[in-house]
Order: sequence, then C-alpha cells, then structure tokens
Amino acid sequence: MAIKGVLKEELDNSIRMKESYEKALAKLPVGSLIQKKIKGHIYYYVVLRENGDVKFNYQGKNVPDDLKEKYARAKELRKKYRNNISQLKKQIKFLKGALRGQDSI
Amino acid sequence: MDKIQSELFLEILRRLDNTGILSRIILIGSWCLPIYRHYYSRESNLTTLRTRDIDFLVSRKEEIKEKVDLPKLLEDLGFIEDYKFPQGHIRLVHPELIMEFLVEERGRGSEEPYPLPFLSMNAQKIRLLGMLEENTVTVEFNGIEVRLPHPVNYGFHKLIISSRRRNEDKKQKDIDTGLSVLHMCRENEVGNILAEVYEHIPQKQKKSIIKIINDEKEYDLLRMLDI
Repeated sequence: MAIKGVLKEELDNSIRMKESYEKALAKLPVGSLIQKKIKGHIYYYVVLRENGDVKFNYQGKNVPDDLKEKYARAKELRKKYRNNISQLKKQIKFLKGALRGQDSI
Repeated sequence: MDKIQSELFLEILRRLDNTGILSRIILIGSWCLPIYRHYYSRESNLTTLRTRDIDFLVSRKEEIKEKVDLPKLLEDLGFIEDYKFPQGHIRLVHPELIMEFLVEERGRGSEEPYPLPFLSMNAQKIRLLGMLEENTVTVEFNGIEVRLPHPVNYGFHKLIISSRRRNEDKKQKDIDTGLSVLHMCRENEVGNILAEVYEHIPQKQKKSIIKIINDEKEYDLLRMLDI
C-alpha cells in the first residue's frame, strides 16, 4: 500500500519539477552567439528564430568574454534542461499509468 | 540502486565534500539506507523503497562558515532552484534527485524558512529532528566520509514520526523502514545500543514506540529494550 503513496508523491514532484524547468528554460538568454568571417574580419551575431524565421542580430566586431561565456553556458544548460523536461514527461506518463493501475508496479 | 541516480548522488556528496561542508551537515532520510547497509558490510532485509529526496540536516549548534553557492555548485549537473509554495523553502531539483535542507524546529515554531545565507539556501524547520543529530556516525562510502544519524536513532525516529503522520501510506512506510533498520541493528550485534538510546527518549515518545512495536507484534525488539 505504501508504494502507492510514494508514487503519488513522486508524480506531484515530477509535475512541479517540469514546470520549474520550463520556467528556468524561458529565463535563459534566447539564441546562440555565433561568429561570421566576412572578408577576413570576424563579426559576432546572436542567431535566433522569430516567428519561424532565422534572424541574425549583430553584436559587433568584439564581444566581451563574459558575454561569450554567458551564451556558452546558456547553450549547455538549455540542452540539459530540455533533456530533463523530456525525462520528466516520461516519468509523469509512467507514474500516471502506474497509479491508474494500468502498469505493473 | 539505479545507476544514474546513484552516480548523481555520489557526485553531490563529492562536491559537498570538496567544499568542506559535507562534514558539517548530516544526511538524513531514505538515502541513509544504502549507506547503513554498506556500514554493516553485510546483506540485510533493509527496504530500499525511497523517494528522490536527499535531505540534509543542519545542526543549529554547528555554524557553517564555508561560503558556498550551492545552486551554482550543482547547476552544471542540471539542478535548478525550486521555491516550495507558499513559504518559499528552496529545493534543488533534478529529475533524478531533489535536495533540501532541514533544521530542528524549536519553541512555538513558525512556517518561515530558516536562512542559510552561506549556502545561498534556506532550510525547512521540522520538529523532532534533535534525536538524529545527537548521536551520529561517520561512514566512508565510495571514498567519501558521510555523516549520518546512528541507525538506532534513525530507526526510533521513524517510529516516532510515523505516529504523527496523517497520511496512512507514509505512516506505514515509516513504520516499515523504522522496524527494518532496528532489526538490522539487532542482527548486527549492536543490540545493547538499542536499549541505551531508548532509555534517553522522552516518556511520551517511548509510549508511541512501544505501541507500534506491540501492534506490529515485533516481540524480539521488545525483548531487546528490556521491557
């Protein structure tokens, strides 16, 4: 009997966590920092998708290291958060099924 | 133990150990169980049913002096901060594990979180945690020294809190875990400590323990307590 209580608690946790990850994902800087080499010169852009179109927002010839780091970190975290959201969706599906008694526990 | 989860658990312990704060906090909750099994270095019937919660107890007597930004420390592992509604207790969450800090509630009590500014965290105040910090053991687990309540204290604490639970499932889980740990202690020849720890428990809580042991017909344990 105790296992059902544990599963319910885990389901509530997974739902809450998924919401928290979605919020955290939304807070990350949008787009990725890229560099383009044009006629031997390097120019920095933030590339992002707006209404289905890919946009390049010019950042300048030089960008501070902390900005590069900020986008690199955001890229890494975005990947992790998306993986975690996908994992949580699977957990939620499984736990809901298990609590309905459709899956074996 | 699930491999990804156990590796993540070890990585958290490793990072806390490297910052120097692991020796100042006490691991409590269901993650103590695999370490107890390791502590006794033998097979036991100890239940492994546990949630994702990793709870650390912060003693009010022991001040944490190391300044460590914990959310930052675990960010690259994919942990994010989660503020529990409505009081704003901070938890560090990951699909595999949820980490939070607890501190003993004293006096009249309040719902406000207990601030842990040096860790960029706060702790939830909960009653009856005192007995988990008054008798601790330090166990080497995968090369890391982890401090946790003595299993006898852990077992009795589970029985005491079970009597205060409203949720029947959680109540039964606490009873099952508490009794399993106490049996493990009995089987591992630390039975004399059972009676010694029991002796120092307040009368009201002793009654709760005896009632549960009697209800569960655990007469071997009763004999160990010299009752």
